[in-house]
Amino acid sequence: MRKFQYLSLAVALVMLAAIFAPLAVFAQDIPPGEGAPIIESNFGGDITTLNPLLVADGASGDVTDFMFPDFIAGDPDTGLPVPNGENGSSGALVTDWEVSEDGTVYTFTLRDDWTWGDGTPITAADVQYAWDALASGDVDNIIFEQLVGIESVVADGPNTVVVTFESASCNALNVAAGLPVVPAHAYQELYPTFADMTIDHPNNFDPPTTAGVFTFSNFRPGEQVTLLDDQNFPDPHLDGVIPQAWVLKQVADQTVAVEQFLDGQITLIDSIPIDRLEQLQELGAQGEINFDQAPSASWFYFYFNLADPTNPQDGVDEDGNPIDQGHHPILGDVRVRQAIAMSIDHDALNEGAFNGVSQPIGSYELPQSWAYNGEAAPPWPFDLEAAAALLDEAGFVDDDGDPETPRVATEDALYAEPGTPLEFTLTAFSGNNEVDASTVLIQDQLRRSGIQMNLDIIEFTSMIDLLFSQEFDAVVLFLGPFDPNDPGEVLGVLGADADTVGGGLNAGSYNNPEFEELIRTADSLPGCDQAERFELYSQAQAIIRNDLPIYLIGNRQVPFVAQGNVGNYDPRPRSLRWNIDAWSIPSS
Amino acid sequence: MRRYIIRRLIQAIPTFLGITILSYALMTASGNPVRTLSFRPGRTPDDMERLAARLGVNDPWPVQYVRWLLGDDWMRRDTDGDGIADTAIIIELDADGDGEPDPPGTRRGVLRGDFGNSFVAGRPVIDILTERFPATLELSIAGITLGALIGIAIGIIAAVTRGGMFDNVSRVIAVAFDAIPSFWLSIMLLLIFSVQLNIFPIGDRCGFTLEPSCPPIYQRLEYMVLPVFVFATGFIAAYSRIMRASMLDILNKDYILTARAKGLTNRSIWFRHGARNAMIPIATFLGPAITSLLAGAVIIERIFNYPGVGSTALNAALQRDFPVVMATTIYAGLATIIGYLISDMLYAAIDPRIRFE
Amino acid sequence: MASHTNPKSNIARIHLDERELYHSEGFWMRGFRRLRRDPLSMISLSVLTVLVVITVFAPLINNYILKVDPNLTDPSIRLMRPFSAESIETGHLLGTDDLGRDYLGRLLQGGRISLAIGFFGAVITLAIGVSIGMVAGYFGGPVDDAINWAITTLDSIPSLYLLILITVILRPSAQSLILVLALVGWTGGTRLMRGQTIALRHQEYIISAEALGATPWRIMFVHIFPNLLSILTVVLTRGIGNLILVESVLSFFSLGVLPPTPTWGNMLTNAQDFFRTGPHMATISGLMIFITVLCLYVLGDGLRDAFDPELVD
Repeated sequence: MRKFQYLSLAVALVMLAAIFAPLAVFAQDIPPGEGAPIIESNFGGDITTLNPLLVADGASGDVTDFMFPDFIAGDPDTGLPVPNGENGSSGALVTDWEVSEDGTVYTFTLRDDWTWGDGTPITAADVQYAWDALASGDVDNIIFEQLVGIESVVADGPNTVVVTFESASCNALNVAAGLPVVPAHAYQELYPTFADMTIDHPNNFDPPTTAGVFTFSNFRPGEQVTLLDDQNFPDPHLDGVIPQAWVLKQVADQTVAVEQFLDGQITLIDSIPIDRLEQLQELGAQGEINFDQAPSASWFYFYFNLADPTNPQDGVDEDGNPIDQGHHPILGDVRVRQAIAMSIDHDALNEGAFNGVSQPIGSYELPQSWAYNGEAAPPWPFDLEAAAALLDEAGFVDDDGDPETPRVATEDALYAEPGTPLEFTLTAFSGNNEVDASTVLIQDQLRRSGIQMNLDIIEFTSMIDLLFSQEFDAVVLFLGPFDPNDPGEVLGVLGADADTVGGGLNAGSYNNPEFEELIRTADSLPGCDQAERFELYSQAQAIIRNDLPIYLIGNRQVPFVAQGNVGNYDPRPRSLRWNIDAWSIPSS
Repeated sequence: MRRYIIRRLIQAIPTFLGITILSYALMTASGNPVRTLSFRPGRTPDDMERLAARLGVNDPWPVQYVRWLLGDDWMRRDTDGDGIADTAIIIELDADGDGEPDPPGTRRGVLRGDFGNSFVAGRPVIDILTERFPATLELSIAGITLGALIGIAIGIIAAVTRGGMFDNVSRVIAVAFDAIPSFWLSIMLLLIFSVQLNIFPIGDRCGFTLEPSCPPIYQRLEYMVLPVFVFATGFIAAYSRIMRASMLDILNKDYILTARAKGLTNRSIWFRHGARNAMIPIATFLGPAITSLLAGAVIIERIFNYPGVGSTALNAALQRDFPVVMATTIYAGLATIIGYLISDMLYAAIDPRIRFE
Repeated sequence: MASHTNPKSNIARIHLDERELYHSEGFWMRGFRRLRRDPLSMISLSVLTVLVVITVFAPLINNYILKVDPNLTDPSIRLMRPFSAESIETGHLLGTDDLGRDYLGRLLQGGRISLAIGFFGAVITLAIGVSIGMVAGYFGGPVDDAINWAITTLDSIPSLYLLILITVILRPSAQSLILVLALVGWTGGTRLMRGQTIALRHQEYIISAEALGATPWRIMFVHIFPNLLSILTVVLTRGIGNLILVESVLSFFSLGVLPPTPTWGNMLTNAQDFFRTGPHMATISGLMIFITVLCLYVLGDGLRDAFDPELVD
């Protein structure tokens, strides 16, 4: 009975906390710098740099994010750029901005109350230096290509940065938010010329000075990266940075990582093997640990090759005119693709391959994006009768009365010679359980519609080679992460410009000027009215949904877990670590 | 003896060259790494071209091989001595990606200890290997020592009690350990002893610390128990089998029978005469033992989360990180060559009858 | 690990002397008589015979006796435990895997491929090794030097490294994997064969055969090869076991035969993802590999002892 009383008290407290959570009421019982270290696991490779301008991999990005200021803050709920401090955001320089009338010049006002670890104030010069380095062409980096359309970044006094764009774009602010900030004074000393800024520079893992929630302590290759609390951080959500340290720990084997988590050795895991989902979910329900899910920012999808795979061609010639690429004999017909989509039973996939974390999806936009329109682009229904009717209409008929043998093309088939069996090869990559499981299930499901899908599972690099050669029938893969706040990014995968043999991501050779026009119009709509843009993007989503150049197998929820004793742990839709400075773990 | 060693070293040169050619040919056959390295949304063909130039993977493979082996400072020579290189022998490398070929001399070649930079990490490969080497070394030495000691002991006892209970049981156990996939054994041990029984730590090289390195080895022995055990099982099986066989062989030899006739006790016969001579095959097994150690390291280091060369080699192969793969292959080859050399010298030291002809 | 070690060590105990040249009927009979007296070997041989029979006839057994289609998926009955009421009722005796496929059916089918890889891999490995070894041993000189160089080079790189490199490059189907295994593993047989050929090369009967005008090939395959059959039987037996293990290790790195084609190796690897929800998968597939390899190794040891006359008391 007593136990029950405690329980109900606990429940009441939790509910109370839930109510007040948006107001950011933090329980503080651990003084700054005295919380136990936050330990996260990393499955991928080691970090490759601690210079934010050279970052090209996820791990290095995660680590440097904590050590250097952001230019513009992102709203933890929407991810959209906001003045620093708004809605719980922190650690950024921009407090306010103005846009010129033609929408090409942004004038940002910077805070003046933050210094680098060596005492030098953080100023507009640090932003301009970073831009100059990236734009110089002397620094080998992948950040510059993401700063699409920026013409210049100029410091106008210590607290003003003027960013000029080549043309007005509704995505400009989002792009500008990606500008890095580095200590110009220290970097100039370290790197006499921009060309000296390389990944094999002796200081690559030894940043001269930093400013952020944490500061660098040490890097043990293959083991861990250790950051210590930086009490100089100006925007703590409490009195200071509570955790003593943040550690990124290498754990190559997922089974080992989960066991270490359950043993309390790891604070947070954001990649969970599907076998452990149920167990962790249960522990979450019991309140032992924090279990949450967020929608994936990647696609898990089929590329259909729409063009003739025996004669791969680019999408457009040098003058931008479309090139005739022929048609894929089977997959070139949209009705066949639609029949495939309707023969796939997402529920069965969800049960057999995704452990219930997948949602059917018809739109290429991520569901967490404001531009996502599930009504304009609903998921394809699982409907074997409709699929059969479509296949009949497309000229692929059941010739022998056995529904499970592949249908055969008749005279009516659009691109296939009469007598061609309804058969294609799906190439997938090895070593991923979800891919293995879902492709086998889909193969079995398509067989029931008289579609023979041969499975060719090969090593990832070979698959990418095949994909870019455009000599495939269909390929299944993950692509991402996409930025949910940049709906135009899809042109990089489905635009005719991206259809280049040997390297273009539009490897299936989809070419639809109407779709591209919609995206381009929405991207640079004067005034950038979100409702109006949403309408245009919705039409684009509907087009892709019906044309099916890609088939999205589903949008997965990515589960993540944290220890139950992490105080102030409060994941928000677009940011898990927005208040990491306040996470308080009692030291044992 | 010295002449023998020198001759063996000279013999190792063609082997070493063979290893370099083989590993290079294999890696080159595996295709262009540029596509994998730059697979992400927003990547343009231009980026890929720049990357290819930077990595130097567009050149014909013999050119890449020679550059990798010997360096590039000999490629352009200053024939008239005016301080300006004037004969370009071979295609230049653009390692900094600025579109201009680099001045010669930026690569010194494998033979002079320059393994180039990792495609993925961008750092000198030699640094990566140096960082990872101690972890592999501590596991291997512990594993092979433990395995050899236990294996030899079991082998001797089994031989002198031939046909007995101990002999049969130890033989079956030795074979059984040989027959378990080592990754499976590792995972099972981890799940049973670390997760269920909580006796040993769940992987890692040392307990959590904020310090820049793991504490000295004697403070983290518990982390080594399981991986070293898995390493050792293979050697226990092999060594006990060889030891038993050669011990049996020797026990039947004339001089042992003579010694016994002279009235020496069993124990002194076994250990003075028998064991000493039986060490010969143990010594010859050292070379192959090193190759199997390196292979085992790939599996064991991965499962026990031990940051060694084996796991680095595996990741590099999967990521097509040519320089790292080739460096690890050469490292493995060198270790084996040295292992065979040591085993030959041990052989000579144990058995004075061997003459270095 | 010891599975990658020098095969020489396994046959170190086999000596040749003139008495057993031209293995007579009596030699083989004596060998098998000794083998029959070793209960461990006989148990292993029986287990292996059963395994070979049920896996060779796996398609028939699945079709007519078990009446299951091992490729048929059904997520609604996934991860069914073996011998549970549910599994007996639905006819899935050993339960189902993560996609609801019959585990027994897949186990038989997988065993068929695993055993085939082991057997054909070992046979081809030996065939290459034996031919090259005999050529090197018989001709000597530069041919021998070149072959020796190739052997030393290949042996200096751990075979697992080479296998990982090669399988990363090639698409490993069951057939290509057999070839890859043979191309990497032939040196052991070569070294053995080369040594034995050199030893036999100067025997009187070879010299007289040469004097009578026999071609080198005839001498190698008619006069030398039969003398080494007993050693080769031992090497082959262990080689099969070794390759089954190697395939499972490669599968562990997703470099072996890829699903949906089942092998015991990739079934065991896949099972690792279901330790908690479907532990029977890992237990059963792991056990199958263990038992098979154990039996092969025990039989190999037994054969070695049986054919080694010096062990006769």
